[in-house]
Amino acid sequence: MKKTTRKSLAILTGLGMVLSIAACGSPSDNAGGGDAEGGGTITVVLSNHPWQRALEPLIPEFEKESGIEVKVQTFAEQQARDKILLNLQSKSNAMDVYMTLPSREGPQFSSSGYYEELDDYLESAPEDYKATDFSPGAMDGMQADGATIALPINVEGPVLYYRKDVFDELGLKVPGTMEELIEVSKTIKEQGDGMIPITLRGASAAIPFTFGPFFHGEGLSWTTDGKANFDDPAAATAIDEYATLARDCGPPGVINYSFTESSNLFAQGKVAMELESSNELNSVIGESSTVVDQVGVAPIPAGSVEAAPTALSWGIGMSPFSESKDAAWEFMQWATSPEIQLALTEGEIAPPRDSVAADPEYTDTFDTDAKKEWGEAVADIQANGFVEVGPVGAEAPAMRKVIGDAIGKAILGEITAEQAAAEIQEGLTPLLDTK
Amino acid sequence: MPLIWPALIVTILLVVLPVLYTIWLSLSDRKIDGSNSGFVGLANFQTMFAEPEFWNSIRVTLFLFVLCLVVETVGGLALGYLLSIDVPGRAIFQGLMLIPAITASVAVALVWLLIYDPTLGAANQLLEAIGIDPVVWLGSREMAPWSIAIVDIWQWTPFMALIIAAGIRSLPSEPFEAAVIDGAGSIKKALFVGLPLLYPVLTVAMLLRTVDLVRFFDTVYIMTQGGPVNATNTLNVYGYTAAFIDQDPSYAAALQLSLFFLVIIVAGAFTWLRGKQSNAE
Amino acid sequence: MPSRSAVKQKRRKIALVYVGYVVAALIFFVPVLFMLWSAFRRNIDITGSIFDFTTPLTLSNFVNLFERFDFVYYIRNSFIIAGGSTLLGLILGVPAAYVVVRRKLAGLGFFTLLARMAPGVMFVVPLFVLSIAVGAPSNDALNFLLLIAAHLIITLPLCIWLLVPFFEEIPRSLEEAAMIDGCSVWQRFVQVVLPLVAPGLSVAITLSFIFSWNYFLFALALANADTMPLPVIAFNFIGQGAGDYGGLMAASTLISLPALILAIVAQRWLIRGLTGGAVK
Repeated sequence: MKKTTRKSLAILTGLGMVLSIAACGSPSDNAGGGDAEGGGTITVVLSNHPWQRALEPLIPEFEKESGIEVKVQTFAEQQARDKILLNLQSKSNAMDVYMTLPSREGPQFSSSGYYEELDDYLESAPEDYKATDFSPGAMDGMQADGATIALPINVEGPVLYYRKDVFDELGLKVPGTMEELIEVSKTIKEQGDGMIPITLRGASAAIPFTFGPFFHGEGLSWTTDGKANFDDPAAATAIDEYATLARDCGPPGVINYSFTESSNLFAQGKVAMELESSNELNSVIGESSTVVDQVGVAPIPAGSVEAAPTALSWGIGMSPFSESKDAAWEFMQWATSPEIQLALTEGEIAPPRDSVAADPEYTDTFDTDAKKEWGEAVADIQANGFVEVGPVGAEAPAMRKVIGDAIGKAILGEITAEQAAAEIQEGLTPLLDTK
Repeated sequence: MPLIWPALIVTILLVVLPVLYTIWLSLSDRKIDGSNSGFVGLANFQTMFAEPEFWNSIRVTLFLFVLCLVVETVGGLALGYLLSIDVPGRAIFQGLMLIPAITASVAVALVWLLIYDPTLGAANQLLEAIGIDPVVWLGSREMAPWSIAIVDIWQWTPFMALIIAAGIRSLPSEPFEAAVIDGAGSIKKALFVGLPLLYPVLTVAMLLRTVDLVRFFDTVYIMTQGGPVNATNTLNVYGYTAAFIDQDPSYAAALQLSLFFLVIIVAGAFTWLRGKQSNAE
Repeated sequence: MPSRSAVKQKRRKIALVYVGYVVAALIFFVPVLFMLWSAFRRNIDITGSIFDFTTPLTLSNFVNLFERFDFVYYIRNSFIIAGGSTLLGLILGVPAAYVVVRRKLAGLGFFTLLARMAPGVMFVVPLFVLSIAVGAPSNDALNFLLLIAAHLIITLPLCIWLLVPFFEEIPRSLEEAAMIDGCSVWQRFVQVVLPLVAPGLSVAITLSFIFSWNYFLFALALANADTMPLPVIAFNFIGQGAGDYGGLMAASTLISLPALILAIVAQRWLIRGLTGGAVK
């Protein structure tokens, strides 16, 4: 017993030591906004994203120039949204700037007063910021109730990554339409010697982004006058195409796939095509890729009516509860300035500014075929993309889940495309009614 | 007596108040911006009962509960018997068997995610090595609940076994000796003498697992977030996503209270059966 | 004198037990070994064959965690939260368990049971609202306090539950003797009772610490970037370290380390604590 007493005492004192060490302060003790009056420090909450990975290394430069200390907090996308809401609901001054997806949470956040309106800041921005130079498509997506709620930080949309060596070997042509895409996939399945033909999104909340081009390509838009359009027979065609690709030609377990899983598979050389965001270029030609020299990039194939890529812009918004709004703006202005957006293109971040997109310093970096093709595909997205990633409204996240769940069931072969379309139509109607 | 006040006050603050607050939430309508438009009666519960996903999550919860409890109990009995036999090295082996239960479920889930990976995971490589077609462990609605159950069974069967082994070792030896005199074989001995004597220990162990199994969360949330297409959406995961992803805390409160009731009902039924059984003896 | 055939039979039985051990270890311990092994392999090997034991081992997964993701900081957070809630759990739980035993109180037992049965999710929303009300998202010290308090929901009932059987073993007569000697209640408790339950304290400390260390849900919803403990940062890492299986396994290994160490060093206490309440 004596021995155990001594042991437990040792543990207790050990704990005590840990706690007293803990009280000695941390590398980021000046974190909270509470002790950051005067704009010396700002806190920026970011979602895990290629933009964030490209920007972070540049921040020390900004800190040196401006004297503002920037504290970056990065979370996986869903958790980031959680933390951002925690800060906003608590009207906390601990978060000054945050990454946001206005096409998803814009209306919801805006009606709760969670965006600081940026129009006045934009107007008084210095000339070399070129506030009017953002591409209209990207800037339109940053509006809610007539006000600018965020600054666009990138442009992205689904493209088709493919393996040139596989296509050459099988004598295949890069598909220009969805029909050709399915045919090519089936050929690879038959003759590809175990190569998985294609990977695309199967995880329910992620589906609408890549499903959009199938749907819009049939000449449909999500809604007309507040009514969902899934009762159109063409909707079932689009669902059928998507589900057929995933079910018959996709990797096992595709139903759990989002961009991470798809890009891993592609980078490991196990799949011939990947339908994913243009953002993923870095993952498929980056250092961990085994197929760097074999990557080709094509615009997403057209539907039977038109070519209809999805265009999406992330933005950064300012918390209305920030107590260092000027410093926050200075950071936002810096992060979205032409110079930085040009610098970010090195991380394959497609710029939301026309001038940068046309800048030879950027276009000259397209030194490989893959990058050149990618540049063209992105330009096409920027020019012709549909900005509505899913149906718009206060219930946008729920509506995307309705679409994703039904298509998921079609991928699993549990229901037909027609049944999925009917299920979506039925599910969307009450959600579109809630304002 | 004053010794107990601090603990009592803290328990009331930490346990009773949140329960009361959750009840209030479930009867009101808290919005995403933090405002609450007040008492709405049973509206949240009405929505819940009309929602197919609620019934699906109850089904998923009960499926996992029954499957895991049965396998863990049977497996625990077998492994527990093994652990109760005195051989050199028993203590070390006991230590090994302790590891799954005290390993953080986050770590457990991450390891099994890698094992289950459909194209490069260990599970499919093993199957392939013995000539069985690969399985999409988490990638089909039929398979995913079983795959999740395997993880829980892996993590908690040894724990059941440890409790059962301790129970076996504390059994008196006289009844067994009497049985041998009566000419009973070892299987008969185990079934008709050992099991009834072990009954109290076994039921406590099962009760402990029951309470945790009905509240199935960590591994599911990390491995599938309730997917694919809600196939593993336990009531607990549903309650969490409703609150923190769909941002509907009042509806979530109704779900969470239902889960609490479910735990109480299942645990209560279990305790009642147990009482009845021991009275009958 | 046992006969030769009896000795033989006994040997056979022992051999059979060892066969059982091997089978059980294959099922229940190999996944843990797989985690440890993968933590030291390169990503390119992890995605390769699991039967290739000749691939080189590397520390780079761990180095990466510490250099790029500052894991020391999150280990510290985990220590603060698990240590704090264990300490508070003991301070509140030891006297409470004593009184429960001495006064034969069932009431607190009921509350403890309530806390044990209530789903963790049910506490998260109220704690979230509390967090917002007191401004904990923006204040690291408050955030830690909140997390410690939240984890007390785990540790306090556990401490009481674990300690009650130990207190029950103390004969009343011992205390009565001390009372005759003129000791006050407090003196009696500290000088006579506490040393007698020292083994129980060890069990309570270790298990509270492990369970608090492992707990995922509260910090998932409530921690801010500065206060995240290991399980949450590891979960967060899934998205950030896309395809970095080695990093994920290294992180899992770090999270499991206290449990692995204690399973070796203190397995006797732990097993007694975990099974004690059931077997009594």
